[in-house]
Amino acid sequence: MASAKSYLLFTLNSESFGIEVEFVLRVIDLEGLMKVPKAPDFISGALNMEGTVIPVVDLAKKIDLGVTEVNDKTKVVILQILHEDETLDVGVLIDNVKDVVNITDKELQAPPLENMGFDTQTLDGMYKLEENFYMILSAKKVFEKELMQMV
Amino acid sequence: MPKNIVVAEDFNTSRKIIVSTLTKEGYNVMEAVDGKEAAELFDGRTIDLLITDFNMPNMNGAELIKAVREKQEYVYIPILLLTTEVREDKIQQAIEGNITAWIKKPFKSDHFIKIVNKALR
Amino acid sequence: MDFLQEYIEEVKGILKDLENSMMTLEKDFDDPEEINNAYRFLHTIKGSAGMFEFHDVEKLAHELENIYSDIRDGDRQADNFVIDLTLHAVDILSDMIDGKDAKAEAEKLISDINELRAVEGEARASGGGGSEGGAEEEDGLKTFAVIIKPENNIFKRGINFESILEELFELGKTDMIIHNESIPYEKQLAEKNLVSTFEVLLATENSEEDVSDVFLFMQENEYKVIPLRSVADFSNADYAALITIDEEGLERRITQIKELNPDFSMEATVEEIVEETAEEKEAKANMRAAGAAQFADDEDTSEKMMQRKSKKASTVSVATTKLDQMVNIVSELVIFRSEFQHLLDGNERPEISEALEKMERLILRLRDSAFNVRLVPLNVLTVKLQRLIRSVSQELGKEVDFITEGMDTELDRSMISALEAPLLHLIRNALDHGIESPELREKRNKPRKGLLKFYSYNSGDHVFIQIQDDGNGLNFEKIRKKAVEKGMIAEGQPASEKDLINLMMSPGFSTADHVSKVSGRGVGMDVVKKDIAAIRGDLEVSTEEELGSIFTIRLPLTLTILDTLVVNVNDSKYLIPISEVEFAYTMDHAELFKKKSRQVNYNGQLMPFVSLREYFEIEEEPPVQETVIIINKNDTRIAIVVDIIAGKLQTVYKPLNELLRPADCFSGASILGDGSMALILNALKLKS
Repeated sequence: MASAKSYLLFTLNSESFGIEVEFVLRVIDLEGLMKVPKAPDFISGALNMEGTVIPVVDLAKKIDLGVTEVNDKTKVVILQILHEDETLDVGVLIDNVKDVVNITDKELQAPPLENMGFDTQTLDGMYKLEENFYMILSAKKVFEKELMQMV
Repeated sequence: MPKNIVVAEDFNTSRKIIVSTLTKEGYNVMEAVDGKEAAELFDGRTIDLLITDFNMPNMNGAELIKAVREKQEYVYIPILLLTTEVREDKIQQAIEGNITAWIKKPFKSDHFIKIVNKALR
Repeated sequence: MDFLQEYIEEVKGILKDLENSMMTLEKDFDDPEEINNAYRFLHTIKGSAGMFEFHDVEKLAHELENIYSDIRDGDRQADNFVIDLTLHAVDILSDMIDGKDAKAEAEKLISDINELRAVEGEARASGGGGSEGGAEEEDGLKTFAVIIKPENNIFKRGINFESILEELFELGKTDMIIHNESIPYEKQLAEKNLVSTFEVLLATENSEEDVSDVFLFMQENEYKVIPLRSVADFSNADYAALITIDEEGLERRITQIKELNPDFSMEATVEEIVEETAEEKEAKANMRAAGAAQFADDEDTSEKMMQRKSKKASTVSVATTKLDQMVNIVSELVIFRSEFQHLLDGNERPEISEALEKMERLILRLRDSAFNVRLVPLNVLTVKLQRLIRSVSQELGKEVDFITEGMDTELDRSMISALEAPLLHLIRNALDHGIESPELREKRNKPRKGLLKFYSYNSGDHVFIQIQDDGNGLNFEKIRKKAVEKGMIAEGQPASEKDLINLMMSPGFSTADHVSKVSGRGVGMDVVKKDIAAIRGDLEVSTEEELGSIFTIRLPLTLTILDTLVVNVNDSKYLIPISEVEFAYTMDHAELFKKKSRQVNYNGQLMPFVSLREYFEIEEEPPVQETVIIINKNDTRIAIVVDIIAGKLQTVYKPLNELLRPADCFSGASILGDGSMALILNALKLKS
C-alpha cells in the first residue's frame, strides 16, 4: 500500500490548491499586518506570531496567479519549511480552507506541463476530489529561491 | 623537587619520629635541636615549611617564628607549631597570628601528614 | 455524636486526598508540593484524632508524619517503599476510623516505620556508607554555600589562600562570587592584603566534613560551610549574618546553583516558607485547643490546607516568548505615558504632574526589572575566566596579564551559558598555543609577560566578543602540513591563509604537536565554531605571525535591548536606534524641498537627505512640518526626513528572516505592546 500524506485543501483566487500538512503550523485570520517597504513585490507585509516576525507572502503573486484580494475573510497559512539545518517561517495568504484529506502517492497525478495561468513548476501534482482538481503545491518549490539563499 | 622542611624540636625521640615520618613521605628534612640552631638554617636557602616545638632551650618557638617571619624570604612560608599547650588563647598570644596551624602533641602520624601535605599544597 | 460523624467523614476525605497525593508522588518522588501535602494531611489527622480519643490513629499518623518531615527536611528521599508504607497506613487508618480493630496491624506498621527511620539514621551517622538505597548513592551530589572572610593578613600565617580556593574548587563544580572587591582580587593577592568576602557555591559528592577540611588552617570565624538543601537555605541565619542577598541576588544564585546541580530542590521561595511556618503555627495552636467547640477552627485549618494544595510553588520557569511579551507591554506603557503627558500639556494641575512623575518612576522600574529577567552581563564569566587563566598559565609556566573590557555588555542568559565552553576553549588555546614562554618572548624582544585581552562591545545589530593575544600568531606552515597529513588538502595544493583558517576550524583538525593537558582535550576549533554557530554567531580570526591573534565572535542581537526613537512616517511607526541619532530638528516641508539639491545644512555642512516618505514611495500628502534626523553610525552621517518623532522606546530586537532580507534598509523589527510591530531602520542602507 502506498503511504498517504495529509494535505490541507484551500482556495485562492477561485482556484483550488492543496499543501502538505507537515509544513503547516497553523491557519490564522489576517490581522495586524505590518507594511514592509522595499520588500520584494510578493511580500504583503509581516505579522507578529507569538513574538516572532512572520513575513506574509501574497501566494497568488508568488506563483504568478495574479494578486490576492484581501478582505476580512482572508486567512494566513503559517508554514514552517525545513531546509537542511535551517527553518523558514512564512505565512501565505489564502481565501478559504476547504478540508484536510489523506492522499496517497498513487492518487497524486502528474502536474500539468502546459501553462495553466500560473507557475506550475511549484506543483507536486494534482489531486481530483469529486469534480474538483486540486493543485498540490510544494512548499519547498514555492520558496526554492529563498531556501537556497539561506544556506 | 622534594620540598624542604625544617624541624625544630629539642626532644630527641619526638624529633626522630617526625623526621622519619616526613622522610618516608619523600620530603627533604633538616633537623634542629633548638630554636637557635633552627633560626640559623634560615639563611636564604629555599625552605618550604617550618615545623617547630613551642618550648625549647636557647630560643623558644615564639621567638623562632618571629625571627623567621622577619626575613624577607620567609614572610609567607607555612609554619606548624607543635605544642602540648591546650589553652588556645595562650598560644595565639604567643605567636600573634604568625602561624599556619598548631598541632597538639601527642599526635597521630596520619593526621600529622595530612596537615603537612596541606600546608605544602 | 454529630460531630463524630462529621469527623469520620472528613478524615475519610483526607485519607482519599492522601491516597491521591501518593499517586502523584509516585510519578515524581521529589515533588515538594505533594510531600508537603502528605505531611499536612497526616498532621491534620493526628491533631483531630486526639480529640475524639482515636489514640491509635493519632499514634500511627504521628509516626508516618515523621517520615514526611524527614523528607521535607531533605534527610530522606521519598521512594516506592515510603509510598507503599503510606498506602498501607491509609487502609489501616480507614479501618480504625470505621471502628474496626486494627491495632495489631497498626503496631506492626509502626515498628516498620521506626525500623526504617533507625536504619537510615545509622547510615547517616556512619557517613552513609553501605546504604542499600541505590538512589541515594547516585544522587550523592550535595550543594553548599561556602562563605570565606579571611583575615586581611592571612598570608602572614603562611597560608596560601589561593591554594585553599583551588582545593575547594577541586571538590566539585563551583561558582564564586567575590564581595566587596573595591580592590581587584588580583591586586589583593599581589599586595597580600585580602579585603573581600568570598562566596562559593559548590556542588560536590563530598561530605560537609570534607568541605570543612579544606579550611583546616583557617579560624572558625573566617569561613562558614552552609549546606544548601533548598532555596530557603539562602535566607538562613548563617547566610544572612555574612551576606545580604536581595531578590535579584537570590535569583542569580538560584540560576547558578541550578547550573551546578540540576537536581537542586526549588521547593519554595523564601516568602512561601515563611508563610507556611506561620500557618503551621496557627494550625498547631488550633490543634492544641481541645473540645468540640474548637472543632470549627480545625475545619478552618483544613480548609486552608485544601487551598494550599492547589497553590503552585512561586518559582516558575517562563517561556521566553511570554517574557518578551511582558517586555513589549511595559515598553508600550512607557510610550503611552508620554502620550498621556502630551494630552495634558497646557492644562495640568501640579498634583497631576506629581502623580505622573511617580507613575513614570514606577514604569521605569517595572521596565528595568522586566528587561533584567532575561539579560545577564558578560561579567558573570569573569571569575571563571580569571580562574582558568591563573591555573593554565601556572601549569604552562607562562606569564600573562589578563585585561577585560566591556564585561558589562549584556547578553541573553541562554547565550551566556552557550558561550561559556567556546570562550574557555579559546582562552585555553590562546595561552597554550598563542602566548610564548617567557624565554621565547624575551628572545623576540617582547615583554616576558604576555598580554591576553578579552573585550566585548555592541556595534550596530551585533555584539562582538574579542579574544586577543600578543603571542605566536597562527603558524600557517604548520596548519598546512597538518592539513596535508590529515588528507584535507593535497601536497603542494595552493591554499590561502583564509582557506587554512577554515581548514583549522574543520572537524578532526588539531594543531597541537602533542596532546597537551591544557588544550588537547579532543575538542578542536570545529567544536568551538559549531557551538558559536548554534547561537547564530560566527567566529573570525585575524592573525600576524609572531605578533598575535584576534579571535572575534560576532553574535546577533536577538535579544539585546535596543533604545530607540519612534518616528512616524505616514501611518506607520519606525524605530531608529538612539545610539545612532546625533541630532534632530523640525523644518517646514516647503522650505526643505525648496532647493533642487535636496540638502540640509548641518553645522555649516551641506548634507544630502533622504525623505522616508519618498523612499518608501508613499503617495499621500506630507505634513506641513517635517522632522530632520541626523544619523551618525560608525562615523558615517546621513540625514533623513520623517513626519514626526513620536517618542522613545526601549525594545527587544527581533530578526527578520530570509524573505524580508531584501528590504535591507531594516535591520529588524520590534513588537509593540498592542501586538503591532515596527521596523527598525538601518539608516546606512538608505541610498539617496
